[in-house]
Amino acid sequence: MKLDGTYTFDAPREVVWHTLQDPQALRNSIPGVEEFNEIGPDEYQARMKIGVASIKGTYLAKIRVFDKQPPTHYKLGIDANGTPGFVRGEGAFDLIEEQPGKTTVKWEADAQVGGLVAGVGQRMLSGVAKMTVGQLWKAMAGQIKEKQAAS
Amino acid sequence: MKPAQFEYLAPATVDEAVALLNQYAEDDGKILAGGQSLVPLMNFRLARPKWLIDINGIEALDYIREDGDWLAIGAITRERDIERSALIADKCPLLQEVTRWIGHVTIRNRGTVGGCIAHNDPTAEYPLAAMLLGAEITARGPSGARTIPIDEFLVTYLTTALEPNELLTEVRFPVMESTTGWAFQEFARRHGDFAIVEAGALLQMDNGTVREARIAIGGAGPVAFRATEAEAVLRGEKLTDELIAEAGEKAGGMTEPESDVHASAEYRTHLAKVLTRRALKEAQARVR
Repeated sequence: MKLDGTYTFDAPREVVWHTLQDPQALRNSIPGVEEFNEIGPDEYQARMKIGVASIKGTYLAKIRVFDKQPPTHYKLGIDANGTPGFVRGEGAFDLIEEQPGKTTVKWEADAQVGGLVAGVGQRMLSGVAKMTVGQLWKAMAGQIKEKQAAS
Repeated sequence: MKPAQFEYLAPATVDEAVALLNQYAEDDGKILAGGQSLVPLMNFRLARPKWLIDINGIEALDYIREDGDWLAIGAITRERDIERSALIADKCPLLQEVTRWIGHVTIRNRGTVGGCIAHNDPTAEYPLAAMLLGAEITARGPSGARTIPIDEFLVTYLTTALEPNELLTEVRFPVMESTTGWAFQEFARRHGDFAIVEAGALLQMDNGTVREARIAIGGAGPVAFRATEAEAVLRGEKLTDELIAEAGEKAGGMTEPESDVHASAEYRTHLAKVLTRRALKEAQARVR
């Protein structure tokens, strides 16, 4: 499954970069996160409940940040297993400061989805995945706003 | 295929159902209506409700009534009853036509109007019909009943404006004017499959000029939607084939489809255009 999208933050690139790399911000932004632990430098383990309406599954995910080129580019690797299936993939993220104080994140991801969720949930999989990523960006934007209001 | 373990509750009244839902909503409680979507999902174990609140025994939710300019339909009214209702055929023929496209007769024997709309599958027929006609939803929660316009009710994939502790009790469809032209078009690989794309149209005309047009599209985005840009090009204009083609293009331009094994995003957009055109032609022929 290939996915891509963009999201624009009302914040300078440095601020967006630091928020996206901040484990605390990540923990607060991942939709349905139940547990989130740093297991090494740029390596995290998370338990999250993801899905839509009553079709939610709990996944145990290993997340790895690599190929970091601050403040413009990084990659994420994810390896998640849960009762409804598995997700394995990689995403690339580019931060572009379109104008001072406005930063667009361009992302694209390629993921393998297997198991029941891929078979039965196929019809809505990419739509729901995009929606979930959208929730993550919105939560990140909320955190940036909070930080800016506090400072 | 057997579901994960759950507790079964069978309230006999709406009050009882709402009380149970309020008690168990936060603990994975779920309403069971006709079960034509929920039960397969449970058998696949994609859905694992802990508490299943079966509303099939609530006879007070099984009715089709004329209520002024509205048709009021109780939540557990079977789809098959809509299909066979003389009142629906007379007052809202589009709803009867749309019903024939839902799954197969065996599914419609159990599937309910309320269940279909509360489930809100992006390709389901009733959410589209409700958008097209401008339906209203009545929901009951612990603090009472409220009415929700359909465009606020349908939120996104399988998601509605119902609160976790609210029960959909009634769907209200406006009575159609007898002069209105109407049509529903659907494309699926086999009849009874989930739709790839579907489109509906309503037309009111004065001497060949469009007075009012409504178009709704399903299966080409997260939720059924009104193709308002297509409607706008029709209003006040002579309904020619060129204009119908332009409306089709506008409707296609409003889609936000995803690609999957059944069809690419481009194909879905194409279908939305074609089905909008066909629906408008058919509706035009039915205008009186």
